[in-house]
Amino acid sequence: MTTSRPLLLDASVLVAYERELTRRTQAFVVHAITEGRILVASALSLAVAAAELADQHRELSWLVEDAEGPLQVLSLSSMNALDVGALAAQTGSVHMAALELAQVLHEAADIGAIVLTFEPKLYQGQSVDVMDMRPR
Amino acid sequence: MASSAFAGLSDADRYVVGRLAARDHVPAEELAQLPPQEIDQYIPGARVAYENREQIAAALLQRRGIDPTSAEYQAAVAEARHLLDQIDQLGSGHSA
Repeated sequence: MTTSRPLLLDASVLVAYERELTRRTQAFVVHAITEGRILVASALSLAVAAAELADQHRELSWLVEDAEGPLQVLSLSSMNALDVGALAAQTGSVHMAALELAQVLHEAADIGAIVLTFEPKLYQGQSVDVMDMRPR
Repeated sequence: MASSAFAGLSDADRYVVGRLAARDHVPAEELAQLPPQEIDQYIPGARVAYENREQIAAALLQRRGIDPTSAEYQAAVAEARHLLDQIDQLGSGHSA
Protein backbone atom coordinates (compact mmCIF):
# COMPACT_ATOMS: atom_id res chain seq x y z
CA MET A 1 0.00 0.00 0.00
CA THR A 2 2.06 2.91 -1.20
CA THR A 3 -0.42 5.04 -3.08
CA SER A 4 -2.26 6.47 -0.09
CA ARG A 5 -1.98 9.84 1.55
CA PRO A 6 0.74 10.64 4.09
CA LEU A 7 -0.23 10.04 7.70
CA LEU A 8 0.70 12.98 9.91
CA LEU A 9 1.17 12.03 13.56
CA ASP A 10 0.61 14.93 15.92
CA ALA A 11 2.21 15.32 19.36
CA SER A 12 -0.57 13.41 21.12
CA VAL A 13 0.13 10.35 18.97
CA LEU A 14 3.90 10.68 19.38
CA VAL A 15 3.51 10.81 23.16
CA ALA A 16 1.20 7.78 23.10
CA TYR A 17 3.66 5.90 20.93
CA GLU A 18 6.40 6.49 23.48
CA ARG A 19 4.58 5.63 26.66
CA GLU A 20 1.25 3.96 25.99
CA LEU A 21 1.00 0.64 27.77
CA THR A 22 -1.91 -0.81 25.83
CA ARG A 23 0.20 -1.22 22.65
CA ARG A 24 -2.54 0.30 20.48
CA THR A 25 -0.41 3.10 19.05
CA GLN A 26 2.68 0.96 18.72
CA ALA A 27 0.67 -1.67 16.86
CA PHE A 28 -0.75 0.98 14.57
CA VAL A 29 2.69 2.39 13.76
CA VAL A 30 4.16 -1.08 13.19
CA HIS A 31 1.29 -2.06 10.93
CA ALA A 32 1.49 1.19 8.98
CA ILE A 33 5.24 0.70 8.48
CA THR A 34 4.68 -2.85 7.28
CA GLU A 35 2.11 -1.64 4.76
CA GLY A 36 4.56 0.92 3.41
CA ARG A 37 2.55 3.94 4.54
CA ILE A 38 4.23 7.32 4.52
CA LEU A 39 4.48 8.45 8.13
CA VAL A 40 5.34 12.06 8.86
CA ALA A 41 5.46 14.37 11.87
CA SER A 42 6.06 18.07 12.08
CA ALA A 43 9.22 19.25 13.82
CA LEU A 44 7.11 21.20 16.30
CA SER A 45 5.04 18.09 17.11
CA LEU A 46 8.26 16.29 17.90
CA ALA A 47 9.38 19.17 20.11
CA VAL A 48 6.06 19.29 21.98
CA ALA A 49 6.14 15.52 22.46
CA ALA A 50 9.67 15.69 23.84
CA ALA A 51 8.60 18.41 26.24
CA GLU A 52 5.59 16.41 27.41
CA LEU A 53 7.74 13.34 27.83
CA ALA A 54 10.21 15.33 29.94
CA ASP A 55 13.02 14.24 27.66
CA GLN A 56 12.21 10.53 28.10
CA HIS A 57 11.82 9.70 24.42
CA ARG A 58 14.08 6.79 23.65
CA GLU A 59 11.63 5.10 21.29
CA LEU A 60 10.75 8.26 19.39
CA SER A 61 14.45 8.94 18.97
CA TRP A 62 14.88 5.52 17.44
CA LEU A 63 12.14 6.25 14.91
CA VAL A 64 13.68 9.48 13.68
CA GLU A 65 17.38 9.24 14.35
CA ASP A 66 18.52 8.29 10.86
CA ALA A 67 17.49 8.83 7.27
CA GLU A 68 16.63 5.17 6.86
CA GLY A 69 14.04 5.39 9.61
CA PRO A 70 10.32 5.09 8.96
CA LEU A 71 9.18 8.50 10.22
CA GLN A 72 9.83 11.58 8.10
CA VAL A 73 10.14 14.76 10.14
CA LEU A 74 8.85 17.87 8.40
CA SER A 75 11.22 20.67 9.25
CA LEU A 76 10.52 24.22 10.25
CA SER A 77 12.50 26.38 7.89
CA SER A 78 12.56 29.60 5.95
CA MET A 79 10.03 27.92 3.65
CA ASN A 80 7.28 27.61 6.24
CA ALA A 81 8.19 29.28 9.54
CA LEU A 82 6.61 32.62 8.72
CA ASP A 83 3.40 30.97 7.54
CA VAL A 84 3.26 28.79 10.64
CA GLY A 85 3.78 31.77 12.92
CA ALA A 86 1.13 33.78 11.15
CA LEU A 87 -1.31 30.88 11.34
CA ALA A 88 -0.66 30.48 15.07
CA ALA A 89 -1.28 34.17 15.64
CA GLN A 90 -4.80 33.74 14.26
CA THR A 91 -5.67 31.65 17.32
CA GLY A 92 -4.98 34.67 19.51
CA SER A 93 -2.29 32.98 21.54
CA VAL A 94 1.30 32.25 20.75
CA HIS A 95 2.50 29.31 22.77
CA MET A 96 4.08 26.02 21.88
CA ALA A 97 0.82 24.09 21.44
CA ALA A 98 -0.60 26.79 19.17
CA LEU A 99 2.55 26.76 17.09
CA GLU A 100 2.45 22.98 16.83
CA LEU A 101 -1.18 23.04 15.76
CA ALA A 102 -0.34 25.68 13.17
CA GLN A 103 2.47 23.64 11.67
CA VAL A 104 0.34 20.49 11.61
CA LEU A 105 -2.44 22.35 9.82
CA HIS A 106 -0.01 23.99 7.43
CA GLU A 107 1.72 20.73 6.54
CA ALA A 108 -1.47 18.71 6.27
CA ALA A 109 -3.01 21.23 3.91
CA ASP A 110 0.11 21.47 1.78
CA ILE A 111 0.79 17.78 1.35
CA GLY A 112 -2.73 16.38 1.57
CA ALA A 113 -1.96 14.42 4.72
CA ILE A 114 -4.44 12.92 7.13
CA VAL A 115 -3.85 14.08 10.70
CA LEU A 116 -3.81 11.34 13.33
CA THR A 117 -4.58 12.59 16.82
CA PHE A 118 -5.92 11.76 20.25
CA GLU A 119 -7.21 15.33 20.49
CA PRO A 120 -9.62 15.73 17.58
CA LYS A 121 -11.28 18.76 19.14
CA LEU A 122 -8.16 20.75 18.36
CA TYR A 123 -8.97 20.38 14.67
CA GLN A 124 -12.67 21.16 14.73
CA GLY A 125 -13.57 23.66 12.04
CA GLN A 126 -10.29 23.17 10.20
CA SER A 127 -10.20 22.03 6.60
CA VAL A 128 -8.03 18.97 7.10
CA ASP A 129 -8.96 15.32 7.34
CA VAL A 130 -8.51 13.98 10.86
CA MET A 131 -8.51 10.45 12.24
CA ASP A 132 -9.48 10.17 15.88
CA MET A 133 -7.11 7.63 17.41
CA ARG A 134 -8.98 7.32 20.71
CA PRO A 135 -10.34 3.87 21.54
CA ARG A 136 -13.95 3.40 20.42
CA MET B 1 -1.04 9.69 -5.62
CA ALA B 2 -3.13 7.46 -7.82
CA SER B 3 -2.87 9.18 -11.20
CA SER B 4 -1.41 7.69 -14.37
CA ALA B 5 1.84 9.50 -13.60
CA PHE B 6 2.60 6.66 -11.21
CA ALA B 7 1.53 3.81 -13.43
CA GLY B 8 5.06 2.70 -14.29
CA LEU B 9 6.48 3.03 -10.81
CA SER B 10 7.17 0.21 -8.41
CA ASP B 11 5.75 0.30 -4.89
CA ALA B 12 9.19 1.34 -3.64
CA ASP B 13 9.36 4.16 -6.19
CA ARG B 14 5.92 5.37 -5.13
CA TYR B 15 6.93 5.37 -1.50
CA VAL B 16 10.11 7.35 -2.19
CA VAL B 17 8.26 9.82 -4.40
CA GLY B 18 5.50 10.24 -1.84
CA ARG B 19 7.93 10.74 1.02
CA LEU B 20 9.98 13.29 -0.90
CA ALA B 21 6.83 15.10 -1.98
CA ALA B 22 5.71 15.32 1.63
CA ARG B 23 9.10 16.44 2.90
CA ASP B 24 9.64 19.13 0.28
CA HIS B 25 6.05 20.09 -0.53
CA VAL B 26 6.63 19.28 -4.16
CA PRO B 27 3.88 17.84 -6.39
CA ALA B 28 4.33 14.08 -6.44
CA GLU B 29 3.22 13.99 -10.06
CA GLU B 30 6.24 16.09 -11.02
CA LEU B 31 8.64 13.95 -9.05
CA ALA B 32 7.23 10.82 -10.63
CA GLN B 33 8.62 11.97 -13.96
CA LEU B 34 12.21 11.88 -12.68
CA PRO B 35 14.45 8.81 -12.90
CA PRO B 36 14.29 6.81 -9.64
CA GLN B 37 18.04 7.19 -9.11
CA GLU B 38 17.69 10.95 -9.17
CA ILE B 39 14.84 10.88 -6.68
CA ASP B 40 16.91 8.70 -4.36
CA GLN B 41 19.63 11.33 -4.36
CA TYR B 42 17.16 13.91 -3.11
CA ILE B 43 16.05 11.77 -0.19
CA PRO B 44 18.78 9.30 0.80
CA GLY B 45 17.59 6.46 2.98
CA ALA B 46 13.94 6.53 1.98
CA ARG B 47 14.22 3.56 -0.37
CA VAL B 48 16.09 1.58 2.27
CA ALA B 49 13.38 2.45 4.79
CA TYR B 50 10.79 1.01 2.42
CA GLU B 51 12.74 -2.09 1.49
CA ASN B 52 13.60 -2.83 5.13
CA ARG B 53 10.15 -2.09 6.52
CA GLU B 54 9.56 -5.65 7.72
CA GLN B 55 12.87 -5.66 9.56
CA ILE B 56 12.17 -2.22 11.00
CA ALA B 57 8.78 -3.37 12.24
CA ALA B 58 10.29 -6.49 13.78
CA ALA B 59 13.02 -4.46 15.47
CA LEU B 60 10.47 -2.04 16.80
CA LEU B 61 8.45 -4.85 18.38
CA GLN B 62 11.58 -6.34 19.89
CA ARG B 63 12.63 -3.01 21.36
CA ARG B 64 9.24 -2.62 23.01
CA GLY B 65 9.20 -6.17 24.28
CA ILE B 66 6.02 -6.87 22.36
CA ASP B 67 5.15 -10.47 21.57
CA PRO B 68 3.58 -10.28 18.10
CA THR B 69 1.74 -13.55 18.70
CA SER B 70 0.06 -12.38 21.90
CA ALA B 71 -3.70 -12.00 21.96
CA GLU B 72 -3.33 -8.42 23.16
CA TYR B 73 -1.12 -7.48 20.24
CA GLN B 74 -3.23 -9.31 17.69
CA ALA B 75 -6.26 -7.38 18.91
CA ALA B 76 -4.31 -4.14 18.55
CA VAL B 77 -3.30 -5.09 15.01
CA ALA B 78 -6.90 -5.81 14.09
CA GLU B 79 -7.81 -2.37 15.37
CA ALA B 80 -4.92 -0.85 13.41
CA ARG B 81 -6.19 -2.49 10.23
CA HIS B 82 -9.63 -1.09 10.90
CA LEU B 83 -8.22 2.40 11.45
CA LEU B 84 -6.22 2.25 8.21
CA ASP B 85 -9.34 1.12 6.35
CA GLN B 86 -11.19 4.11 7.78
CA ILE B 87 -8.31 6.39 6.78
CA ASP B 88 -8.42 5.09 3.23
CA GLN B 89 -12.12 5.89 3.09
CA LEU B 90 -11.42 9.53 3.86
CA GLY B 91 -10.61 10.08 0.21
CA SER B 92 -7.67 10.45 -2.05
CA GLY B 93 -6.78 14.03 -1.14
CA HIS B 94 -3.58 15.02 -2.86
CA SER B 95 0.13 14.55 -2.48
CA ALA B 96 1.73 17.97 -2.34
